[in-house]
Amino acid sequence: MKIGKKRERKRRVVVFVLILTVLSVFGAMKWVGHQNELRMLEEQERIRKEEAIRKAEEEAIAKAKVAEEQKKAEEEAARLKAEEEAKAIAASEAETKAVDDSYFEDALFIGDSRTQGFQIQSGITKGTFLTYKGLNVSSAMNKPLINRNGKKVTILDAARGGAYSKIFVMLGVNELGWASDQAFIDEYSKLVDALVDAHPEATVYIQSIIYVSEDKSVHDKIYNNKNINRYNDLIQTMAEEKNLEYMDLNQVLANSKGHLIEDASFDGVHLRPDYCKIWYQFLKENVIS
Amino acid sequence: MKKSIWMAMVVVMVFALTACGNKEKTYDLSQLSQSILEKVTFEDTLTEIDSAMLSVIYGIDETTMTEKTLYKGSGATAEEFILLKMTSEEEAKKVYANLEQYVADQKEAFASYVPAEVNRLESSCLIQNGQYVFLCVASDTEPFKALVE
Repeated sequence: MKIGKKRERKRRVVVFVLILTVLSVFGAMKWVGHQNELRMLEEQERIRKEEAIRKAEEEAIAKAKVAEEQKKAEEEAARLKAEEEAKAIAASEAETKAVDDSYFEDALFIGDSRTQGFQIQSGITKGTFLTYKGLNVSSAMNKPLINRNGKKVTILDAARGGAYSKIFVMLGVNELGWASDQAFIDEYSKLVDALVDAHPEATVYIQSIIYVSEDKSVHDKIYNNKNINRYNDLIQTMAEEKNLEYMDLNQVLANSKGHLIEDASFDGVHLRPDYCKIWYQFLKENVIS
Repeated sequence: MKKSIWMAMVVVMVFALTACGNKEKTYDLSQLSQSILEKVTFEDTLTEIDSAMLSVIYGIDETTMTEKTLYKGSGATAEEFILLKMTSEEEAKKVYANLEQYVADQKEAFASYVPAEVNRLESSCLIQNGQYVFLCVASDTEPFKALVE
């Protein structure tokens, strides 16, 4: 009987211990869960705070950026306005100091079909024009192209004949396909030297080759603006070395991409009347008066 | 039978020649130039050029013209037209010869520059009618002829 009671007590103790253990484990698990929950909440709170800080920082950066862009735009607008004003003043001054048609009374123009177009469509009424379609620096010296008293003579010989105090030359576009740049500039130098020899008192203006249109430039392996730029560099250097006046017509006839203004030409090469007039105005404003 | 046919032909010829001889047509050059711009197809855009250029380009004495109209392209093509009324038929004949030479020179100049334009110059139409002289360079000058004639 005593043994039975002892066992019973032992069983109860075991059961009690088991219950206690289960409860402890359960309690511990709940505590751990609670702790995890707390940690999660803390983590969430931390993330929320970080997010808020990040957002605030981003907003501050965006605001600063907007303010900076606004400031830049205002500065750019002010700069453009100042530039436009300066340009307007310069244009007005240039127009004021521009010579009139009579300046070209004793001027000689030598050039190719572009200069022919200039003669016909710019509105110029004075000057002597020695021009020929497809003229180049070599044919100007060697090919009899101009009628003089029933006889054909070279452009150079015809140029030697008159009395001129200003000589305007624009050649080069027909030579773009030449194999040698050196041959081109050597021939150009020879022609210019001969003109200076014939008219030592004259002011010689060497005009740049006018660009071709973007469409022409992109699709033509020879008559493109890359080649024109290369030739113009050679021409400018030659003019400077010989102390002649170099006139960059592309200042007024090119767009911002470095091509002839798109509606300036029907075929990408020859200028329409309005642009011949711009060319003429540029000469009038930039000659030595 | 044959004789009567010949007679009829002679009569017709005489009438035709008489008709040509009496034909002293006058033109309104301004109106004619507008009609040409409307009816003739030009590839380039033609613009009216100061008539002072007539003496410069074609060597025509300013004082021999009483009316003049000149339209030219940018130089990309040989297209152009000239309408002139001279002081006399004699002057018109001289100018006709000048313009014949001009067209020949243009052919030579374009031959080594833009050879395709030579065909256009071949199609050019030069007409002298009394004191009037007309030149048109275009690919198809039939509408020009129709307007002038």
